[in-house]
Amino acid sequence: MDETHTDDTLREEIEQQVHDETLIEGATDFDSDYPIVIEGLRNSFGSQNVHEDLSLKVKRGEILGVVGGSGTGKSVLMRSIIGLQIPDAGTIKVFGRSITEAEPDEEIGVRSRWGVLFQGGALFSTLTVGENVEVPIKQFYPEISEELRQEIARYKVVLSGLPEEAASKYPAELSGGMKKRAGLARALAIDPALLFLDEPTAGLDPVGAAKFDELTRELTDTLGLTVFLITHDLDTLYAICDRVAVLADKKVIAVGTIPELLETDHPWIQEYFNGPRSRAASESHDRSEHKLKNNASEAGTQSGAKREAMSDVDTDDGAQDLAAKSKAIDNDAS
Amino acid sequence: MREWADFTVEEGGGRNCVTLQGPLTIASIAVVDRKLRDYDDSVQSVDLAQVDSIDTVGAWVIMRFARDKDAEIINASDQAKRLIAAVEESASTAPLAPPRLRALERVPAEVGDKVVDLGWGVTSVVGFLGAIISSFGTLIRHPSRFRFKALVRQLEVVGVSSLGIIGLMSFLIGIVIAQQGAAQLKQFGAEIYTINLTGRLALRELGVLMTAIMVAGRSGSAFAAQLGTMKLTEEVDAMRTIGVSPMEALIIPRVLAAVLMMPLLGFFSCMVAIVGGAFVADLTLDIPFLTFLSRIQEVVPTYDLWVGLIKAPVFGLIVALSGCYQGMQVKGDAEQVGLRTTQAVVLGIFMVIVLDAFFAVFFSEIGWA
Repeated sequence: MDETHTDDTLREEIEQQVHDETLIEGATDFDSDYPIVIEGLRNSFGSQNVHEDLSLKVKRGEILGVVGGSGTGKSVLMRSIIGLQIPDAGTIKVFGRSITEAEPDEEIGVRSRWGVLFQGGALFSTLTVGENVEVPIKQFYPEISEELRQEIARYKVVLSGLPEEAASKYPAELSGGMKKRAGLARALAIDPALLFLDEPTAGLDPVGAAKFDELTRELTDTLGLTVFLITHDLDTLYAICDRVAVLADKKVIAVGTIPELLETDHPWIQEYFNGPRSRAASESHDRSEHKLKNNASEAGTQSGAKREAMSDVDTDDGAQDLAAKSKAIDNDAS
Repeated sequence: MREWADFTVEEGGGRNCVTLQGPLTIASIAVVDRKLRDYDDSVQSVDLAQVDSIDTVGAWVIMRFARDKDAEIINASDQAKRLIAAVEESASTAPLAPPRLRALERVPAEVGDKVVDLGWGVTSVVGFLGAIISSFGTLIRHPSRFRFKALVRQLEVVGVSSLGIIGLMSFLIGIVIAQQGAAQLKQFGAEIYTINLTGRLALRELGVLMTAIMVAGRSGSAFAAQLGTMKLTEEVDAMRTIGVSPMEALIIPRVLAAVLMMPLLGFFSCMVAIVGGAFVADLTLDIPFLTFLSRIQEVVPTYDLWVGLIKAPVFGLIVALSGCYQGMQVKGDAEQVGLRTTQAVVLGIFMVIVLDAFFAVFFSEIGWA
């Protein structure tokens, strides 16, 4: 009896500390098939329209690559979705919750479910990497004990591909690539369901970029994330994106897998995916895929096939299906 | 209310089995985490059959508990297994805070650092001044390389555009000196000496000193921030690579502008302060405005004007030197720009006041009392 009593007081004590964003009115739907739904978006700066009647739906569990020439408003689109840029018209819903109607700093109940990696990392320069990772945990889950919070920060740092001693370093002491990884660690701090990456591989060397891509894919598969990824990197598109959205003429002119996009006859898309750089990226992707399959069949597992099956999944029903399929594949393998 | 994860313990044949229930996610983990930390019995197995969802935080808590108790994790879903494997691989014990010395060691170390920094700072400021003088010498030998446009631009920024604020400030200072002076001098019927007080104080000390402080705040800080930002964005490096000396293009025009404008601004400030004093005297002391001005000529010796005008360019040099030096010291990140700008202003004003004290002693020694 005594023990249950202390349990209750512990729970009460913790519940007092809870900062419950998820209980805010205007219920959110974290199980929806489309975590992001944009309709009729218009953004303009002065007299210049960046977006005009832009619509886009992001499927649950996919990595959506967003491409477009410089100045087509890729970053503006991302800023609109996360509520940093208030659009002139249109609606944006994240997990069923309207971002466009909310005030910039209003508690909207979805901020605890997304993580954002800004282009330069945007780390807080007065805090160490580890302390940076702790910030969102402290903000959204103050009831978590300091001990656990620090443990979480530590493993997130390593999970993001940084050496463990990087946790106590200040952002100024890190290289550009490490800053991005540290930014990713902070974006992943609260196990978000939705991850925004703004040019994650820009400015990284090819080896570092490939590793970052691998990491993104691995995390997405392990954690079941939905990823909104802005990129200029063709290798990233071929290697990890399930679908690609093309921004041109102030709207999303096409969304689909790369083969699907190649069938459209929009000149920009043709130029983009049939340029020499794109063909090189495509070839190298095919080669590595081929190698992967060979290795896989030699080793007796079917990870290559698994990857393909996984990328098929997002065309239909979402996580349960995804889990079922990966289970089926595991069974096949054993 | 939020749903919290929990656990129950089943005992059987000396074996304890901890069974977890509910969602094991970051939002629901706080209670069960603390309870598991307080649990001090032995555990042989951890059952996850009743866990309905799990994320990396849940996986971490389970993994750590099982590892510490040397228990086996059973009935884990595939996703749970995957997450547990992922966090197990990422386990780390590295500190999050930067290494910090103990207070006993830290204090002497910081004092030592400061002393070394001070010595190094003095050397490098003197070096910087030397570099300015030598590149000034080069410019005299090659006058065609002198950037006249840049100088004119800086003269405008430092001088002309600060006339308004300096005028207003000086007018108010003149009012305050006259009003406060009159209040004291009235006690022994010597209000007429308000004129001496206002005129001499404005010309010798306050006009130039306050102008120097204003220029430090307005232009010294701007120099530091501009040059600092240019260093960060590698503009300064780009200049060097195309053969333009940053010293000639950026620093000489700024220093020269401050040195040239300070006497003019100082003189302007003195005049406005006297007008301010005359204004108050007219209103409260029954000394007519024009009488006040004509008496100034009689009671203020000419060398008071020289005292002010000799100090002004030196103060200008100090302020510009401090701003440019701090700006050129910026390295690393944007935080440095703010830090260096603050330092430029603080050091500039401090040096001006120290020098002003020296000048005061010097001028009274040579008989310009």
